[in-house]
Amino acid sequence: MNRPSDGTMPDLPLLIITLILVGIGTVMVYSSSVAVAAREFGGAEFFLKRQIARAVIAVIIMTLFLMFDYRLYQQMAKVLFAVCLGLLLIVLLPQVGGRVVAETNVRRWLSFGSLTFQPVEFVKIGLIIYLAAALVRKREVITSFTQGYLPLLLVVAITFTLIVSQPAFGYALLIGMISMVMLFVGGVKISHLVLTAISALPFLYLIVLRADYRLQRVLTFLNPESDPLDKGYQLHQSLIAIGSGQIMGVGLGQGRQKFGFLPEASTDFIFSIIGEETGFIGAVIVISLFLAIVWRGVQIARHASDLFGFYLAIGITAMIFLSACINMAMVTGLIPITGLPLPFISYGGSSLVFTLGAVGILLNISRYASPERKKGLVTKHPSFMDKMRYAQN
Amino acid sequence: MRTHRPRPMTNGATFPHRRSQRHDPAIMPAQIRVRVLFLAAFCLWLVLVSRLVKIQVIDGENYRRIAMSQHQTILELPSERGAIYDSKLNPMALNMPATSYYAVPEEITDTTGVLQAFQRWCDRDPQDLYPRLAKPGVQFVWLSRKVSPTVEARIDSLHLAGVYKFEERSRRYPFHRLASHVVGFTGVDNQGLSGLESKYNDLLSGKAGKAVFQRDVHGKGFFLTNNPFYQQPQDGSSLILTLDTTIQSIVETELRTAVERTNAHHGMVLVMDPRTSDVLAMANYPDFDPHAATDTPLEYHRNRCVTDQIEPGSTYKIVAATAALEEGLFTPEDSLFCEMGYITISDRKIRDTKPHGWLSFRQILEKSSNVGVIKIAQQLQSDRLYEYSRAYGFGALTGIELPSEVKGLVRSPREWSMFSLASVSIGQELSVTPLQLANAFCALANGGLLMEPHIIKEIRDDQGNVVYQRQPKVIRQVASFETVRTLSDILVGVVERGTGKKAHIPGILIAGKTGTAQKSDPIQGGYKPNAYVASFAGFLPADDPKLVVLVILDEPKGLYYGGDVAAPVFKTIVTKILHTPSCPVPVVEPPPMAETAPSQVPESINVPDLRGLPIQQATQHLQQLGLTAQVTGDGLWVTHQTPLQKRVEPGATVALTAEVDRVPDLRRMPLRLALSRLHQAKIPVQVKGSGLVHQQKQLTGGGCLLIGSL
Repeated sequence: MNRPSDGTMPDLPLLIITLILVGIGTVMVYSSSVAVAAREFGGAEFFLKRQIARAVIAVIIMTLFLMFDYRLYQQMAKVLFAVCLGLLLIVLLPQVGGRVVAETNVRRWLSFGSLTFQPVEFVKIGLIIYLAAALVRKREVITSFTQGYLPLLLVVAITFTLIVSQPAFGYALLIGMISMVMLFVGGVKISHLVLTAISALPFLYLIVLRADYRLQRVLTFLNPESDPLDKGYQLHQSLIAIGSGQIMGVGLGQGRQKFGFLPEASTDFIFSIIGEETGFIGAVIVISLFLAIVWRGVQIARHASDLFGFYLAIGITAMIFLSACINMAMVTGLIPITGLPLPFISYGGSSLVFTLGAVGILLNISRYASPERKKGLVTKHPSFMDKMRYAQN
Repeated sequence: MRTHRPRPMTNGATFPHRRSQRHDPAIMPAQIRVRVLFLAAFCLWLVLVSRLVKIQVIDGENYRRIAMSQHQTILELPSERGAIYDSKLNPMALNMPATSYYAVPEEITDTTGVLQAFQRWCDRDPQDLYPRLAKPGVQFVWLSRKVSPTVEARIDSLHLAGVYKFEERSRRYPFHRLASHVVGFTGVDNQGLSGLESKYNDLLSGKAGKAVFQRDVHGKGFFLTNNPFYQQPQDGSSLILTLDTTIQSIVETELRTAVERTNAHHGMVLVMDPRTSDVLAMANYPDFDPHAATDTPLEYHRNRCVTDQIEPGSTYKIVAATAALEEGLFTPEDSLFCEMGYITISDRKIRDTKPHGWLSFRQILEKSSNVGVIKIAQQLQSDRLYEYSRAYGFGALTGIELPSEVKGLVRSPREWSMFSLASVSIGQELSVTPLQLANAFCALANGGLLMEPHIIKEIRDDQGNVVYQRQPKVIRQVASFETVRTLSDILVGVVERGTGKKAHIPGILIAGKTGTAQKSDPIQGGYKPNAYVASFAGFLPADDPKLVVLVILDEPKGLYYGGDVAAPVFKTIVTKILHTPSCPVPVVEPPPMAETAPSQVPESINVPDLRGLPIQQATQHLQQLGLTAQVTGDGLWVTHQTPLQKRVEPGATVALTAEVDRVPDLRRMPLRLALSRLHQAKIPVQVKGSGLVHQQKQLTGGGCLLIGSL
């Protein structure tokens, strides 16, 4: 393995897409928070200032990760994962109860200035790194159920259970889905995956039934008109926001739903405000930018310098895209409400920092790509297929 | 198909299961799995985009509408309800400010205090109010609407927390009960509920304006620069009626007296101007106070003059009479044998009130002989009688601007029985509204021209522009001028010599017809015993009619003949109307001593009221009466007089004062007389009210204001 020459450029399109999304996020956080900020925080720019500060910090962190050789994670994988499990257990310590435990408890451990930190954000990356390393390790036995698949599945299941107990069902599902994607790419037999998915269904069903609010969310989702003023209120208002944007939007800053009608307008439901103010066109642009991240992520993965980089890139790409999809599907009423933010865009410290950190890792992987791939940016470059064909021969 | 030169793999991933792929074709290689994932990502993209197409493109318009409705607060800017005036522009319905109270429950600190205060001053039941105040989440509860200023002061003095005032407009009727059936009344939100208030509600209420505010979820309004929407309220139009409140108040006073005196179930009076069929007064008794209409039974709210149908009885005989004269079948002097009291038609006897032998056509009407009229009708035959009924407007809506008018029932001869011709000719077996009857008499008084009756003279918009003016409209010529003239002459005889004698007023020619109809029994069929509708319809002056008055008393107890019960009411009403300054009938001023004939030498002499007369004329008068005048002052007119309105011995002295440049003191003199005196003296004068001069005020510029009171 050869190290990249100094000054090797990271994947420029991904960097640009990321910065565009962060820019959109900053603008939309400002637009969606003016009303609340002016009324309750004594200044229309309250959230804007904080978001800009966070964006700056996040970009710095992204740059740090961009410079940090990703291959070192492979060695650190087990330690990192142990730290993740530790964080999740600490969060569950009973001294403080309630659902906001995660935030209050961890702030003592990790804080970036005024930013708050959710350990689950860290766990996402930690698990991705661990799985990537594990898939490399088990690449010869991955098709075996007992030796290859089952140990990995157990790791995922433990993490999943710990997160569900927080409780953060949405995050748990997200992590489950990311893991599935990685295992799928890692060569696990499809029959194993299907079997796992089927056997997981009763557990998911039980988890939903166990908590009233989850059941309520699902019921509301299944019958959204049942109670538009109370349980279905958020979704109802979200649809009004998006729908009233029509094709062209009501104009940036001209939205009305943020004036208290749509709760969480600048966090989980910021996509609704994008839909309202910039219309179908703006919303599709944002969705497409996330798809563009997948495009770059997959390119980076295919040209990664080693198998670990490949798995890591796929995992991070899946994390970003799935988070975005879950959030957008949620605010458009395609799936029940879960509290997942929209990566890059939603107001909130840890989400932004960790997402950009993850992009930093992705960019770092891109720096170690083969020279053909680099050339390929300007001319034709050998595809993944070519490599495979060559390898087979 | 492109081929690539194979090159050695210098670095890059060592992909797993590359080898196994050879062994096991069922396992997908990694690169295909990545493609599958990318495809899946694209599918997710597609799903989200199609969802957005559905929400934003297909349903967008709908969502935008919902959004608009929740983002906007529409503040209604109330319009001022138009007033209702009589023909002299006296306001009959107008708006006054009124205070209402409401509560914001969560701000109330002393609930008991609020409950007690509003129970005590506004009669608000705490049992009803408390649950409203206690209901969680309620922001607004009416405590009391439109309270009186006294109550307002009381409540304000309590300084109750959470209790707020709201300025509203309250509909007031300055004449209270006067013409309440015509004007109607409004509900607590000033919506017209009956009468003209209801029929012309839209016109009167105008159009409320609105201001649209963008609001946040807490309902706090804020204007946004791009689309502040504001619509000026359009105040309501005003109605100017043909009614004359002076005449109306005379009519109502007399009607009430008559209904109470005769113990009648109810009564109706219509006064109309036959030249235009304008309704000058329309009264029903029992009446109601429009400020508290709900306190009176619904029955009293009905404007029976247009909503009730009655069997007219003998007043209807004018139809047969008109037809007979118009068709040339009879002259007033033609005689008929009246069968000495009754006539038998298909085994039923129709009686006269007393037996008559040979009577002329004129006498038949004067005495209101049923037998005679039936015999006239028999000559006419069914079709012509029916034709003239319809020609007079019976059985059809008059089209007056009042709600719930009924058209009455005049059946066509095809539906008649053997008995019907006789019945109809004397005003039975058919029903008419009092307005139809009065309007028929208007036609008779108006040279045979049936006019469209009106009660609205003008409609003015909020700017005072006249937007509607009623134009007198001829519906048809019922009969020739000559016929009508002849019939009028006969009807004068009714009042002079016939059944309507009690309507006679000396000095004025009155034509009229009495009516006494047995009330039919809607339950048993046939006629109710001892239940009559007494009526009198007349017009004056008979040679140039200016007034038509119809009086109807329903079920008077005791005397029940129209001539005995209704005619005297007619007489008092007419007498009083003649004494109002606004009287449309120019009454030749009777000489001041009209009440005492100069030829007789009475034991005592009624001293005439000479105030305002030229001094010379006054002394002459006194001399003619055998009284001595003692004049002081150098003025031209009598300003004071003693004794006044007293009877004195012949030869007594009457002191007359004639102050220079002074308006005579005319208090207690009939307003109409006072008016003519001042007119004679060329003193400009303004008049309010009617009846006797109650107050007299000097106006700047030498004029004089007389305020009359009944």
